[in-house]
Amino acid sequence: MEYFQHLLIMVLIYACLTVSLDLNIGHAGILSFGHASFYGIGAYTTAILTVYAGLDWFSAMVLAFATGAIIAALIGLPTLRLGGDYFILALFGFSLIVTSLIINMEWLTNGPFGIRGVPRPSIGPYQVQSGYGMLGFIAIMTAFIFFVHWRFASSPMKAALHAVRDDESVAMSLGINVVRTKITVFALGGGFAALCGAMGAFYFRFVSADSYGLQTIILLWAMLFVGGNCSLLGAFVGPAVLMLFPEMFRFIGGQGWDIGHIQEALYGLLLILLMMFRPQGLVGNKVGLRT
Amino acid sequence: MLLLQLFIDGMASGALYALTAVGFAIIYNGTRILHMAHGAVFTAGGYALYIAVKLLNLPIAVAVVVALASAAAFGVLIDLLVYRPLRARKSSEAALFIGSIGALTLCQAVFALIFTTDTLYLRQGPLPIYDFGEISITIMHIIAAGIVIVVFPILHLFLTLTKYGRAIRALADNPKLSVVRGVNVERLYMLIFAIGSLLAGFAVSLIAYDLGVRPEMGFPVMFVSLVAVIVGGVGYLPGAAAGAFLLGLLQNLSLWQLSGRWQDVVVFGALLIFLIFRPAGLFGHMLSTRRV
Amino acid sequence: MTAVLDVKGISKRFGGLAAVDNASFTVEEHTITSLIGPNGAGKTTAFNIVSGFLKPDFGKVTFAGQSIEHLEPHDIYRLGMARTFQDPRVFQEMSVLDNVMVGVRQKGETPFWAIVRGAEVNSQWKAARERAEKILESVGLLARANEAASALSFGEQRFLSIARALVGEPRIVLLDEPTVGLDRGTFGQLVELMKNLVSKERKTILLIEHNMDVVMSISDKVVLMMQGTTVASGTPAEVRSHRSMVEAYLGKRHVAASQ
Repeated sequence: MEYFQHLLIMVLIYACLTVSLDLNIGHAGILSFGHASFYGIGAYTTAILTVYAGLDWFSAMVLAFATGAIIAALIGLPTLRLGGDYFILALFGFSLIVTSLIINMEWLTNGPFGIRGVPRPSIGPYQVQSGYGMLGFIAIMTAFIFFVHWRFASSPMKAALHAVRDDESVAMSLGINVVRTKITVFALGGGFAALCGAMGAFYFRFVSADSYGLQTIILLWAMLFVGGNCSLLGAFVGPAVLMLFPEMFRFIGGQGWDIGHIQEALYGLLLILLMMFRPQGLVGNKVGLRT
Repeated sequence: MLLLQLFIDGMASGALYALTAVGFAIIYNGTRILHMAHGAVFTAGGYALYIAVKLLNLPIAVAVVVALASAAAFGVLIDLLVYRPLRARKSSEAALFIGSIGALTLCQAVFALIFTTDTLYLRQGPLPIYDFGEISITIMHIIAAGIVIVVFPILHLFLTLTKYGRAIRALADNPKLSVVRGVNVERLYMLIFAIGSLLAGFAVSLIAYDLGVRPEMGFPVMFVSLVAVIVGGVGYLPGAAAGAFLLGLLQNLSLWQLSGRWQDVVVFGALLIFLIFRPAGLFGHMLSTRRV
Repeated sequence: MTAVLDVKGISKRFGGLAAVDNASFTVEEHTITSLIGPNGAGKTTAFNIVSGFLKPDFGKVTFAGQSIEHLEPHDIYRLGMARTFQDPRVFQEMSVLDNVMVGVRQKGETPFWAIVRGAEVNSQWKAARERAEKILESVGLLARANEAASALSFGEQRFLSIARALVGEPRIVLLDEPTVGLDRGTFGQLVELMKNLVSKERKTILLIEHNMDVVMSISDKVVLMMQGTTVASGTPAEVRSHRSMVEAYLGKRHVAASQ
């Protein structure tokens, strides 16, 4: 039962990450390879502020969001005007730099050892302790994040984003400030990824650099494309499939094989097959991947 | 003296990066695919060398030929199995890129499943070293220089003098063509992937022999090559080579003042600075990014 | 009549080539002005300069008394100038109605107001929808409002792109070769639409057009561009009588026909 709880919490956290990645990739056409870094930046901001600075959990979470959003805006400002491949590369480089900085800035991040002892959230006298309490907390956060993204996707903001994604010149000719729109939405993606980092930090009570690197980026992209672009449901389906699918191998009994590598091989294969046979994902809207 | 030593080391690793970078650039210029799986091709060459040397006990010269052929074949295979079906479906560049990431992830995981994540060594003991005062040069430095001096002129002659070489260059100027100088483009793609992967095969043969083979060894090399292509300027092969040497030097010279763990920050910091201030690279012209 | 748009001495070079070279013209309010000239005369470049997509090397563009040559396209749209492109460039996967609604700038498209909503945001959104439906009706596409834009024919997409440019209620619309690729029926429909826009909706139109019959029949003013510069302007009749120019550009057949 405890393990089931754990899986459910992981699916929810990844669903939040996926829906915020979808805001960038699906709705705005910004192929962000920095999402896992913003996730990590949020986790580390939370850990540093609560463990080292003794800040309360809620302020730490808000500041984590702000830090993620500000760093995303700063990195987006010079890079978003670059063309597709250049932007992908710039963000790739950015994510490697972030990983390297986390490992090397020992005075701030405790280097490769990570930071332990992140407190659990509390509301008044009540401190979230049990697994169920944590599941409840994560579920409330997930509901909030999905509500916000549902509002985005059901407002005039959606049309403006899709216009920028599909044809920047036409969007400009219709009065949309393309640069500002892209930076805003990229900053929002960074902020929400950082918020997910805070959620993860509260749950694991521990942050370390290797959770936010290349493997996580690929996992997030796989989750998004399995579920499908521009779909709130897809943002649940992708993480659920990719988190629960490998569990089957545990029961079938992949003795002697490294589960982690089998998982990775499957993610890779899945990405290729999805691009070939179902670029819109399992439950995504009819729109295929473009740009 | 330390600086001179670092300079020589930098030129040697620059030579290796240049081989993979020019290989990557040939593929990118001709197909416009951000070929992340180039890293997997590189690693495949390494394991082929390992099998040839350790399991089949072939003489090293033969083993290197096996490794080169394997790398070339592996590159062509990825084109046939991953990119060609996607092209046939008129997939977007983003879809091709994601397919490429998928191929890289899949290959790395399969290598890890077959060969474990341990480093497999092809040799033991120190390499021959030639000391000149305080400067020392290993046999690997010399071979790296030798390969570059031999391979790049041959490549240049091939691209300028032969029918297929010219077709590759014409395709690089206009990747939307379907027939170039009477050559079917799908067939040209196979040739492009073979040549690009062959160049990676040269680099990996040296590195694998020197330092051993690991499943994820291709990724950092591929990525530095990619940065080299950007720094040198997309669309101009000598630019990619120059960018590779520059990065090799930068990586090694940074050791003068910084410890090795800052190398990633130095290389990718250089990438970000180039992208922001000079996206066209040292010599290249930037791909048009905005249309009216 | 006052000039709502005043273009003075604009020039633009690409590499060593002058695409537009000291071109000047004015557009009077509530009129149709046609920009004509051979291919490569710099008409589209002039359009791109006026609408802010290109910054001129020299020259001034004044719109409604305000100098705009340094402004970005989105700012110029908000001042009341809309444009279309040579291709319809509709958003293929959006519905027809959504395509038009993209042209309405409103509070609800910023993230904060998208979340919070409130009465003003909702009423703006509703008003935008009503206006979009009204404009779709005027171009005859209301019945297809909920279909994907990709389901429309080329001609229908052209009308959709014009509707999209009109929904923000601009004072002036710049139409880049709107009749190209239309069949005879839709062609007449478009000419009617343009006439109505000026006579009933009190809009101003600046037009790039190759079809001389259209130019001569609906224009209040014709501006001739050649080799990047404006060489003549006046009423269609005046331009027609400008014989050497007519011969050079319109060809001898037209001259014969007009005599």
